[in-house]
Formats: sequence, structure tokens, C-alpha cells
Amino acid sequence: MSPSLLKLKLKTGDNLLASALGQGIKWPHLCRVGSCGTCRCKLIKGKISPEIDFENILDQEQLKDGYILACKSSVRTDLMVEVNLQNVKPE
Amino acid sequence: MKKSTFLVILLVSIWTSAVGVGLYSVDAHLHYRDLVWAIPTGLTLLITHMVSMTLYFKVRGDEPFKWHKYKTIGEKR
Amino acid sequence: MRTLFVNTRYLIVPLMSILTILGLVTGGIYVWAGVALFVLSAIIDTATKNIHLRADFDKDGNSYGIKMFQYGVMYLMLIVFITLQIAVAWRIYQYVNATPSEMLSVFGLTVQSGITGANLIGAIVSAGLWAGLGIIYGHELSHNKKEGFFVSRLIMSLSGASHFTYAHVYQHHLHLGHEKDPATAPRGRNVYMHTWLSHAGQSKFSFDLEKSRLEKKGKSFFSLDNKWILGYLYSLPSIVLFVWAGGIVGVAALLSLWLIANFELEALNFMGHYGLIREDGKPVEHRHSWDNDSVFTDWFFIAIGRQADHHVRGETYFWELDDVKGPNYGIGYFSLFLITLVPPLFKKYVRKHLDNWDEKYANQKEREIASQYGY
Repeated sequence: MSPSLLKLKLKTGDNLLASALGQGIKWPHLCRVGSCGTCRCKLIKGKISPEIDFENILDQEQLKDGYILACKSSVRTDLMVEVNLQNVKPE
Repeated sequence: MKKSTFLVILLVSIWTSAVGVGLYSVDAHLHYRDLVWAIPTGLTLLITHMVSMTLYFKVRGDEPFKWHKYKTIGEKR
Repeated sequence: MRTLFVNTRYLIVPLMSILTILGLVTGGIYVWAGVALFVLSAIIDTATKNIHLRADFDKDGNSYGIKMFQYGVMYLMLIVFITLQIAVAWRIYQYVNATPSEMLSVFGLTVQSGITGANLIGAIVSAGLWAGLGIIYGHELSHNKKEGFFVSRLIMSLSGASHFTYAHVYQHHLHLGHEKDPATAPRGRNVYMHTWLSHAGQSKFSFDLEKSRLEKKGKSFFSLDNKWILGYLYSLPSIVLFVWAGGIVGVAALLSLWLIANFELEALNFMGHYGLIREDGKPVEHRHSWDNDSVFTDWFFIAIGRQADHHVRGETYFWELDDVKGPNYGIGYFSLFLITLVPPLFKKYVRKHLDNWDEKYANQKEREIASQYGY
């Protein structure tokens, strides 16, 4: 499946997952408190503020690759993220 | 009462009593106002609690948290 | 004006906690202030049980809540709860010393030195009741990163329940409504049994999590890297304080205080999810939590009673949680808490609510699971 570009309207302080869901994106998610990893995505460009410690769920390699948990990410700047919308189970 | 429940109650009671006797035998109950005694006494009590919890986890496992014992048989309502 | 109202209405517990401390310091009959305030809260909660307010937003959809203020209050509550422990430890110290009763002036405040046995009981119960309410701040801060999470651990450690912070986020939010979540009470369990099983289950979760994590890292279980051990070590200052203050009497007092505080904590878990069922692995929806959000309950417990919205929108600040028309007991937490104290009464009370849930909220599979249990 080839990637497609989706645009979201965000403002500083918005929760990334909540905004995506609110704008009709079927972003994979389960717990919404940062404890399952289902909503993880790769931050390609831009800044977010993590609202919890991602290292409790994401391993070191994922953190190094720029993965974040959308449910606990607060938008700071324009972002570019890569998310697998087919992802349903955490690893 | 399940065997494992009885066993854990017994083990924790023996363990706690042993610690209690140990503290009593060194007169910890008389020197508690001295921090040099109060800190190790406090630590001993904390370790006693943690060991008791560990005994409970090891002996009882996941069994206490299973819901099957609340299932009703036959006419339930 | 609205901003002031929305932000100050959540100050009920901070104010009453401080009054409880003042009562402990003042001495005499005033050490029972905590008990009196708890009873008063129960009366107000019951009297206002039919008043429900929605979450407040301005015309642009912005919340009136001020994050910095609310978080400042939560962080400060750690100091308040520590002071509460020191105040009761002081009274234990006086009791054990048989300090004679006399009136003293301390920073302009007239305090009664010395304490009787009966009033010491009042002091301990007062402190236990309000220490237990640390859960509401421990809970909110558990959904935060480093500093907030750490403060949550410390607040909960004052009641010997530091494991709550991990178990709540990484176990309860994932598994609620299923037996994998010890904080969810199945149908047929009473609040007393639940207090022990939920407390032990959450501690076991933290124990197992750390055992597995440290094994993967090739580290020993017995290290300060072990968060289960560290959590208990956070409780050490409280234990040492009470040992020093009163020896055996101090230890008995601390155990009583912890028992009351943990009972309150687990009673909240009990009331929040009793008898509700969710298939393993399925998403958490509004129907998997009980709401208790009458106005006083909502303000007192900083919206912890808006469980349905909280579990679906875990990222949401407490002052933005709303009534989502999920399952609702229709009475406040205080009233419900009193009912849970009498298990046969609770069973009778909850029957109609569970029948309603089975009929109107549960899906087919959940109904099938529920049919295997009584009330």
C-alpha cells in the first residue's frame, strides 16, 4: 500500500490524536493514555511536547527513530508525521 | 479456605511474628526516639511488608484476581 | 468571573484538608474536624445529587480552566498531605509522651497541647479520611510525564500505595472491565474484599512489570532501578516519622491511617467500574465506566466521577471532562460510598443499574459474559 498525504488543521497545544480523530482521520488507537502504543507514529518534522514518558512503551530504537505516541503529544509547531493507519495491535 | 490461602496466612504470620520478636529482643520498642534506631526499625518494618507482599504473590499467584469464583450456577436472578 | 468560578470550584479538598490540619494543630475537640468536614461533605453531596453541570467552555470552544493554576494546586497538595502526616505524628508524639494538657499560643493561634486517647482516635481518623483523598491528585498526575508522574508517586506513597501510579496507567486503562484489571470489581464482590484484591493486584502488576523489565535488561531485581522497590522506599519517611513519634503506638496509627486511605482509594475504583464488562482487547467505550458527576461530587473529586469520558479521552484535563451520557448511578460518590459499606444494601441498590446496563449499554458478547454472574 503506498503512502498518502493527509492534512490536518492544528494549533499549538492541540492533542495530536484527538485532533486527528476530530477531523475524521481513522488513526489507530486504544487506550488514549499512552499505555498501549497503538497510536504511535513517526515524527518526521516539527516539534511536539510529550505529555508522558514515551520510554515506558516505546523502545530505545523507536525513540531514536523519532516515534511518538499521538495520544500524549501536544502540538508545538507545524508537523510532518508518518502513521500506519492499518496498525491495530501494539507490538 | 483454600490450601494456598491458609499457607500464605501462615507464612506471613510466621514471618511477621519473627520480625516482631527480633525487634522486641533488641529493645527497638524502647529506643524508637533515637533516629539511629527509628530509621533501621522503619526500614525493617517496610522490608517486612514487602516480603509479605512477595510471599502473597508467589504463593497465591493470579488466582485471587480471577473472576470465576463469582460466577453463579443455575438460576441467578 | 467565569474563569475565577471554574478554577476555584475545585479547591474544596485543598481547603478542607487545610482546615483538617488546623484542627489537628488546634487540638482538643478540633482534631475531629476532618471527620466533621467529611460528614458535612456527605450531607452537601446528598442534598445536591440532582444538580448536574456540563463542562465549561467559552463561545470559541476554549476551556476556562487554567492549566498552570490547576497543576500548581495539585503539586502543592503534596506539601499539604505531608503536613497532614506531620500534624498527626505530632499528636501521637504528645500522646505517647503523656504531654499535659495546656493552652499555648503558637504564631497567634491558641492551641491545646496534649491529647487524650479518644481525641487521638479522632486525629487519626481525620487524617486518614483526608489522606485518602490524595488519590484524586495522585490519579490526575499519573497521566503526566516525569515531574507530574513523580509527584503522583510521592502523593500515593504517603498512603503506601505508590504502585498505583504505574498500575493505573499501564494496567487499569488497558484492561478495565476485564479480570486482567484488579481495579475492576466483578459482580458479586464486596468493597472490603475489593480493597485488598485491588491493592494487592496493582502492587503485583508493578512487581511483575519490574521483574520482567529488569530481566530483559540483565539487571538484578534487587536494585534501586526496581520501581516496585523504589515505590515502597518512598513510603519510608512516613514509616520512620511514625515510628519515631510513637513507637508501637505510632506504627499502629500509621497502619490505621493507611487502611482508611487505601479503603477510600479502592472504594473509588469499586464504584467506578463495578460489574461492568468489556471483551478483552476491544476498545474502551463510554459504557465501560460508571459516572458519578452530580455537582458537589464533580467539584470535590475534581471530575474523577466523569470516568466514562476520562477513559475514552484519557488525554483530557479534568476540568474539560464532560457528561457523555454513559452509565450513571444518579447519586453522588458520598451517598454511593455509604451504600457500599453495607454489601447486601449495595447489591440491592446496584441491581437495577446493572439490569439497565445489560439491557441498554452492553453488546451481545458483554451480555453473555454478564449472564454468568449475579449482582
